[in-house]
Amino acid sequence: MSNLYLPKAVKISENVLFQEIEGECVLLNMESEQYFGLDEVGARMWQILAQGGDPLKVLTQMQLEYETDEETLRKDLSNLLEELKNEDLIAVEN
Amino acid sequence: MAQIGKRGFILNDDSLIAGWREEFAANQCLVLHNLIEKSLSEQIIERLRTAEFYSNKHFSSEQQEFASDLTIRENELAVHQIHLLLNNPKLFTLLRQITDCPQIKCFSGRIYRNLPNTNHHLEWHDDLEVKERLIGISINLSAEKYLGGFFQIRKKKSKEILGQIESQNAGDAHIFRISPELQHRVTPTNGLSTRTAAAGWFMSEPDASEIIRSLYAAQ
Repeated sequence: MSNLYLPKAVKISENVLFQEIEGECVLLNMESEQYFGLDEVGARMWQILAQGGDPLKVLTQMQLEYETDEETLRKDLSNLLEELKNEDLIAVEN
Repeated sequence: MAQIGKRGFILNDDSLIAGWREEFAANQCLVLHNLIEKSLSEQIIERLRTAEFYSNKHFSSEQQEFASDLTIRENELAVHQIHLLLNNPKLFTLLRQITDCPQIKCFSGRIYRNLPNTNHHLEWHDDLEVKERLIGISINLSAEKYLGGFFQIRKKKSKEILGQIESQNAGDAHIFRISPELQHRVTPTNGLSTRTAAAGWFMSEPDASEIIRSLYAAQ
């Protein structure tokens, strides 16, 4: 996945539990029994993803909420999705 | 319905809270049916089939044995699942609305088993060894319906039984007040089936972030 590429849709795995604590998010992959932590920005991206699985919606919403240019946000989101996919926390539709 | 699922906590009808408050005030305990969403409780119960348990005895602050059971090893996934699910600020808010307890900051607990027709027991006790405990909870994680295993809560001085909760479905929970004026117990399990429950307390300290981070660090 290139740094600026975003998938068409994302589905959160059925094997994930998550909990938001003090603005951050802890994810537990119940299959691998591994935890994954998200900082405040990652947690907010996860929250929006959990509502519909649309990465473009995440990008749009994050641009409204954070004073960061689109390219940086797109890169951060793309990297996050790659990591989540590698941890089997999400599945992507290209 | 109040429910914890894979996507968090949902309360789909605020108007239920008034009735829950009334019932809890009268009985000092309350059943929350389907608190753990069905597919999730089934997943946890499936994990428990192969989880490791050990024989355990529990003692009061006066060093009197009041309970004997099989307790799950702390590093089992189900323990992590329960702590992650129940350390939910929205759940804390609901419990405060139902019980009028002081601020809840975390959940901490364990999973245990009572085998039928054994010396496993849970006698009258108050859970006050730890002063931060505010509200107790027990969630049924039994693979099958069991016999016996009734929860009872009573006034400590008069011994008046205030509430009794009988066998529930998997994923059902009951909450109860922790107080110097109250005691609670669970009657022995009999018949053929084992009773398994996640049990613990909503507490005034420490902060939930400490509990979650300790799970994360233990990985």
